[in-house]
Amino acid sequence: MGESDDDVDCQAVVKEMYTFLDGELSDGRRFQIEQHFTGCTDCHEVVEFHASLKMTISAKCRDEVPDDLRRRITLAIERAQSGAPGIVDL
Amino acid sequence: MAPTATGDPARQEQFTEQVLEHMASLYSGALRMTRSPADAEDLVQETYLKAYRSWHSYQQGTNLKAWLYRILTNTFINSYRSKKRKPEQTDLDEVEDLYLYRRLGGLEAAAASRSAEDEVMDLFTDSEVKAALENLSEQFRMAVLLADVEGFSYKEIAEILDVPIGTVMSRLHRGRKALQKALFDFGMQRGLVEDRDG
Repeated sequence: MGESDDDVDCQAVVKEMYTFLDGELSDGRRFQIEQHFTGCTDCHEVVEFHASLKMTISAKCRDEVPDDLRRRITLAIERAQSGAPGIVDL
Repeated sequence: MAPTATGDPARQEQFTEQVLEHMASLYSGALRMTRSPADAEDLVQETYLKAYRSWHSYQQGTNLKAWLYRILTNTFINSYRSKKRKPEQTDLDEVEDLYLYRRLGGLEAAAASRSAEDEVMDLFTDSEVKAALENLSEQFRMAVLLADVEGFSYKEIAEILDVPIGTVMSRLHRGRKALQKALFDFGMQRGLVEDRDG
Protein backbone atom coordinates (compact mmCIF):
# COMPACT_ATOMS: atom_id res chain seq x y z
CA MET A 1 0.00 0.00 0.00
CA GLY A 2 1.04 3.63 -0.31
CA GLU A 3 3.69 5.11 1.91
CA SER A 4 4.24 8.32 3.87
CA ASP A 5 1.39 10.46 5.13
CA ASP A 6 -1.19 8.65 3.05
CA ASP A 7 -0.97 5.56 5.27
CA VAL A 8 -3.96 6.25 7.45
CA ASP A 9 -6.18 6.72 4.45
CA CYS A 10 -5.00 3.52 2.76
CA GLN A 11 -5.66 1.61 5.94
CA ALA A 12 -9.10 3.13 6.18
CA VAL A 13 -9.86 2.05 2.63
CA VAL A 14 -8.88 -1.53 3.41
CA LYS A 15 -10.81 -1.50 6.65
CA GLU A 16 -13.97 -0.03 5.17
CA MET A 17 -13.71 -1.50 1.71
CA TYR A 18 -16.39 -4.13 2.12
CA THR A 19 -18.76 -1.72 3.83
CA PHE A 20 -18.16 0.46 0.79
CA LEU A 21 -18.71 -2.40 -1.68
CA ASP A 22 -21.81 -3.55 0.18
CA GLY A 23 -23.25 -0.08 -0.26
CA GLU A 24 -23.50 0.44 3.50
CA LEU A 25 -21.39 3.57 3.99
CA SER A 26 -22.99 6.94 4.55
CA ASP A 27 -22.89 9.24 1.51
CA GLY A 28 -20.26 11.43 3.11
CA ARG A 29 -17.97 8.58 4.02
CA ARG A 30 -18.42 6.91 0.66
CA PHE A 31 -17.37 10.10 -1.04
CA GLN A 32 -14.24 10.35 1.13
CA ILE A 33 -13.25 6.78 0.36
CA GLU A 34 -13.92 7.26 -3.35
CA GLN A 35 -11.88 10.46 -3.32
CA HIS A 36 -8.99 8.57 -1.85
CA PHE A 37 -8.90 5.61 -4.15
CA THR A 38 -9.40 7.60 -7.33
CA GLY A 39 -6.08 9.20 -6.54
CA CYS A 40 -4.34 6.13 -5.14
CA THR A 41 -3.47 3.41 -7.65
CA ASP A 42 -2.82 0.79 -4.99
CA CYS A 43 -6.15 1.27 -3.28
CA HIS A 44 -7.94 1.48 -6.59
CA GLU A 45 -6.56 -1.91 -7.54
CA VAL A 46 -7.48 -3.41 -4.17
CA VAL A 47 -11.05 -2.14 -4.35
CA GLU A 48 -11.43 -3.28 -7.95
CA PHE A 49 -10.16 -6.74 -7.08
CA HIS A 50 -12.64 -7.18 -4.26
CA ALA A 51 -15.48 -5.78 -6.30
CA SER A 52 -14.65 -8.42 -8.92
CA LEU A 53 -14.43 -11.12 -6.29
CA LYS A 54 -17.84 -10.21 -4.96
CA MET A 55 -19.26 -10.23 -8.47
CA THR A 56 -17.58 -13.57 -9.22
CA ILE A 57 -19.08 -15.19 -6.13
CA SER A 58 -22.50 -13.93 -7.09
CA ALA A 59 -22.24 -14.96 -10.73
CA LYS A 60 -20.87 -18.45 -10.08
CA CYS A 61 -23.38 -19.54 -7.46
CA ARG A 62 -26.37 -19.73 -9.79
CA ASP A 63 -28.21 -22.95 -10.44
CA GLU A 64 -30.99 -23.69 -12.86
CA VAL A 65 -34.28 -24.79 -11.38
CA PRO A 66 -35.09 -28.35 -12.50
CA ASP A 67 -38.10 -28.30 -14.86
CA ASP A 68 -39.84 -30.84 -12.72
CA LEU A 69 -39.62 -28.68 -9.60
CA ARG A 70 -40.90 -25.63 -11.44
CA ARG A 71 -43.83 -27.63 -12.78
CA ARG A 72 -44.70 -29.08 -9.40
CA ILE A 73 -44.67 -25.71 -7.65
CA THR A 74 -46.65 -23.95 -10.37
CA LEU A 75 -49.22 -26.72 -10.39
CA ALA A 76 -49.54 -26.77 -6.61
CA ILE A 77 -50.14 -23.02 -6.51
CA GLU A 78 -52.78 -23.27 -9.23
CA ARG A 79 -54.45 -26.09 -7.36
CA ALA A 80 -54.43 -24.14 -4.12
CA GLN A 81 -55.88 -21.08 -5.83
CA SER A 82 -58.72 -23.03 -7.39
CA GLY A 83 -59.66 -24.17 -3.93
CA ALA A 84 -58.85 -27.82 -4.53
CA PRO A 85 -57.69 -29.55 -1.40
CA GLY A 86 -54.36 -30.71 -2.80
CA ILE A 87 -52.23 -27.90 -1.39
CA VAL A 88 -51.01 -29.91 1.57
CA ASP A 89 -49.47 -32.40 -0.83
CA LEU A 90 -47.45 -29.69 -2.57
CA MET B 1 -56.34 -4.17 5.61
CA ALA B 2 -55.28 -7.75 6.47
CA PRO B 3 -57.30 -9.76 3.95
CA THR B 4 -57.73 -13.46 4.56
CA ALA B 5 -54.88 -15.70 3.56
CA THR B 6 -56.17 -17.05 0.32
CA GLY B 7 -59.63 -15.65 -0.24
CA ASP B 8 -58.94 -12.57 -2.33
CA PRO B 9 -58.51 -13.44 -6.04
CA ALA B 10 -56.51 -10.30 -6.75
CA ARG B 11 -54.11 -11.16 -3.93
CA GLN B 12 -53.80 -14.69 -5.29
CA GLU B 13 -52.95 -13.42 -8.72
CA GLN B 14 -50.35 -11.12 -7.24
CA PHE B 15 -48.81 -14.10 -5.51
CA THR B 16 -48.30 -16.04 -8.72
CA GLU B 17 -47.04 -13.02 -10.60
CA GLN B 18 -44.59 -11.95 -7.97
CA VAL B 19 -43.16 -14.97 -6.23
CA LEU B 20 -42.43 -17.35 -9.09
CA GLU B 21 -39.71 -15.17 -10.55
CA HIS B 22 -37.65 -15.68 -7.39
CA MET B 23 -37.54 -19.44 -7.73
CA ALA B 24 -34.05 -19.64 -9.23
CA SER B 25 -32.63 -17.50 -6.47
CA LEU B 26 -34.39 -19.51 -3.78
CA TYR B 27 -33.32 -22.81 -5.32
CA SER B 28 -29.66 -21.76 -5.57
CA GLY B 29 -29.75 -20.55 -1.98
CA ALA B 30 -31.40 -23.78 -0.87
CA LEU B 31 -28.65 -25.78 -2.59
CA ARG B 32 -25.94 -23.84 -0.75
CA MET B 33 -27.78 -24.29 2.54
CA THR B 34 -28.64 -27.99 2.30
CA ARG B 35 -25.81 -29.06 -0.02
CA SER B 36 -28.19 -31.65 -1.42
CA PRO B 37 -30.32 -31.29 -4.57
CA ALA B 38 -33.13 -33.46 -3.17
CA ASP B 39 -33.28 -31.51 0.09
CA ALA B 40 -33.04 -28.22 -1.81
CA GLU B 41 -36.08 -29.13 -3.91
CA ASP B 42 -38.10 -30.07 -0.84
CA LEU B 43 -36.99 -26.92 0.95
CA VAL B 44 -38.05 -24.67 -1.93
CA GLN B 45 -41.42 -26.42 -2.23
CA GLU B 46 -42.04 -26.04 1.46
CA THR B 47 -41.01 -22.39 1.28
CA TYR B 48 -43.57 -21.73 -1.46
CA LEU B 49 -46.25 -23.53 0.51
CA LYS B 50 -45.54 -21.43 3.59
CA ALA B 51 -45.30 -18.26 1.53
CA TYR B 52 -48.69 -18.97 0.00
CA ARG B 53 -50.26 -19.51 3.40
CA SER B 54 -48.81 -16.34 4.89
CA TRP B 55 -49.08 -14.16 1.78
CA HIS B 56 -51.53 -11.91 3.66
CA SER B 57 -48.69 -10.89 5.97
CA TYR B 58 -46.44 -9.72 3.13
CA GLN B 59 -46.51 -5.94 2.80
CA GLN B 60 -46.54 -4.80 -0.82
CA GLY B 61 -43.66 -2.50 -1.56
CA THR B 62 -41.23 -4.18 0.82
CA ASN B 63 -38.48 -6.43 -0.48
CA LEU B 64 -40.25 -9.61 -1.57
CA LYS B 65 -37.09 -11.62 -2.09
CA ALA B 66 -36.02 -10.80 1.48
CA TRP B 67 -39.43 -11.89 2.74
CA LEU B 68 -39.15 -15.18 0.85
CA TYR B 69 -35.58 -15.69 2.03
CA ARG B 70 -36.66 -15.28 5.61
CA ILE B 71 -39.15 -18.12 5.15
CA LEU B 72 -36.54 -20.20 3.32
CA THR B 73 -33.96 -19.64 6.05
CA ASN B 74 -36.34 -20.37 8.92
CA THR B 75 -37.55 -23.53 7.24
CA PHE B 76 -33.98 -24.62 6.63
CA ILE B 77 -32.96 -23.97 10.22
CA ASN B 78 -36.00 -25.72 11.66
CA SER B 79 -36.17 -28.76 9.42
CA TYR B 80 -33.14 -29.29 7.21
CA ARG B 81 -30.06 -28.11 9.02
CA SER B 82 -27.66 -30.92 9.68
CA LYS B 83 -27.60 -32.21 13.22
CA LYS B 84 -23.84 -32.25 13.33
CA ARG B 85 -22.95 -28.65 12.69
CA LYS B 86 -19.43 -27.71 11.89
CA PRO B 87 -17.91 -25.39 14.46
CA GLU B 88 -16.82 -21.97 13.30
CA GLN B 89 -13.39 -22.04 11.76
CA THR B 90 -11.00 -21.01 14.48
CA ASP B 91 -7.79 -20.62 12.51
CA LEU B 92 -8.84 -17.43 10.79
CA ASP B 93 -6.67 -15.15 12.86
CA GLU B 94 -3.75 -15.91 10.61
CA VAL B 95 -5.81 -14.97 7.56
CA GLU B 96 -5.18 -11.28 7.10
CA ASP B 97 -7.33 -8.81 5.20
CA LEU B 98 -6.46 -8.87 1.50
CA TYR B 99 -5.43 -12.53 1.90
CA LEU B 100 -6.36 -13.60 -1.62
CA TYR B 101 -5.38 -10.33 -3.25
CA ARG B 102 -1.85 -10.50 -1.91
CA ARG B 103 -1.44 -14.12 -2.90
CA LEU B 104 -2.75 -13.62 -6.39
CA GLY B 105 -0.44 -10.69 -6.99
CA GLY B 106 1.65 -12.78 -9.37
CA LEU B 107 -1.22 -12.95 -11.79
CA GLU B 108 -1.09 -9.30 -12.65
CA ALA B 109 1.89 -9.62 -14.95
CA ALA B 110 0.40 -12.55 -16.81
CA ALA B 111 -2.92 -10.85 -17.25
CA ALA B 112 -1.84 -7.26 -17.58
CA SER B 113 -4.00 -6.66 -20.59
CA ARG B 114 -7.17 -7.92 -19.00
CA SER B 115 -9.40 -6.26 -16.49
CA ALA B 116 -9.34 -7.32 -12.86
CA GLU B 117 -12.90 -8.46 -13.31
CA ASP B 118 -12.13 -10.97 -16.06
CA GLU B 119 -9.11 -12.08 -14.12
CA VAL B 120 -10.95 -13.08 -10.96
CA MET B 121 -13.98 -14.29 -12.90
CA ASP B 122 -11.91 -16.68 -15.00
CA LEU B 123 -9.74 -17.91 -12.20
CA PHE B 124 -12.18 -20.18 -10.44
CA THR B 125 -14.79 -22.52 -11.83
CA ASP B 126 -18.43 -22.43 -10.80
CA SER B 127 -18.08 -25.64 -8.86
CA GLU B 128 -15.04 -24.36 -6.98
CA VAL B 129 -16.81 -21.21 -5.87
CA LYS B 130 -19.91 -23.21 -4.89
CA ALA B 131 -17.81 -25.76 -2.99
CA ALA B 132 -15.81 -23.04 -1.22
CA LEU B 133 -19.03 -21.42 -0.06
CA GLU B 134 -20.70 -24.70 0.90
CA ASN B 135 -17.71 -25.77 2.97
CA LEU B 136 -17.96 -22.76 5.24
CA SER B 137 -19.54 -23.23 8.64
CA GLU B 138 -23.25 -22.51 8.57
CA GLN B 139 -23.08 -19.05 10.14
CA PHE B 140 -20.41 -17.85 7.74
CA ARG B 141 -22.07 -19.52 4.77
CA MET B 142 -25.41 -17.89 5.41
CA ALA B 143 -23.90 -14.43 5.84
CA VAL B 144 -21.80 -14.60 2.65
CA LEU B 145 -24.66 -16.15 0.67
CA LEU B 146 -27.08 -13.42 1.68
CA ALA B 147 -24.65 -10.54 1.16
CA ASP B 148 -22.49 -11.53 -1.79
CA VAL B 149 -24.70 -13.86 -3.78
CA GLU B 150 -28.10 -12.34 -3.10
CA GLY B 151 -27.05 -8.76 -2.44
CA PHE B 152 -29.19 -8.15 0.65
CA SER B 153 -28.44 -5.16 2.88
CA TYR B 154 -27.03 -5.67 6.39
CA LYS B 155 -30.41 -4.72 7.80
CA GLU B 156 -32.21 -7.26 5.63
CA ILE B 157 -29.70 -9.96 6.55
CA ALA B 158 -30.13 -9.13 10.23
CA GLU B 159 -33.89 -9.58 9.83
CA ILE B 160 -33.58 -12.78 7.81
CA LEU B 161 -31.20 -14.37 10.34
CA ASP B 162 -32.77 -12.69 13.35
CA VAL B 163 -29.45 -11.44 14.73
CA PRO B 164 -28.11 -7.91 15.38
CA ILE B 165 -26.46 -6.00 12.52
CA GLY B 166 -23.12 -6.11 14.36
CA THR B 167 -23.29 -9.90 14.30
CA VAL B 168 -24.01 -9.84 10.58
CA MET B 169 -20.95 -7.67 9.97
CA SER B 170 -18.66 -9.81 12.07
CA ARG B 171 -19.85 -13.04 10.43
CA LEU B 172 -19.40 -11.47 7.03
CA HIS B 173 -15.91 -10.30 7.85
CA ARG B 174 -14.83 -13.72 9.08
CA GLY B 175 -16.83 -15.63 6.49
CA ARG B 176 -15.22 -13.72 3.64
CA LYS B 177 -11.77 -14.45 5.01
CA ALA B 178 -12.61 -18.13 5.27
CA LEU B 179 -13.98 -18.11 1.72
CA GLN B 180 -10.84 -16.43 0.37
CA LYS B 181 -8.73 -19.04 2.07
CA ALA B 182 -10.85 -21.85 0.63
CA LEU B 183 -10.59 -20.36 -2.87
CA PHE B 184 -6.87 -19.97 -2.52
CA ASP B 185 -6.57 -23.61 -1.45
CA PHE B 186 -8.49 -24.66 -4.56
CA GLY B 187 -6.16 -22.54 -6.65
CA MET B 188 -3.15 -24.21 -5.11
CA GLN B 189 -4.56 -27.68 -5.65
CA ARG B 190 -4.93 -26.94 -9.32
CA GLY B 191 -1.48 -25.41 -9.48
CA LEU B 192 -3.06 -22.12 -10.51
CA VAL B 193 -1.32 -20.12 -7.87
CA GLU B 194 1.87 -20.61 -5.96
CA ASP B 195 2.06 -20.39 -2.25
CA ARG B 196 4.25 -17.35 -1.88
CA ASP B 197 4.77 -17.99 1.78
CA GLY B 198 6.10 -21.47 1.16
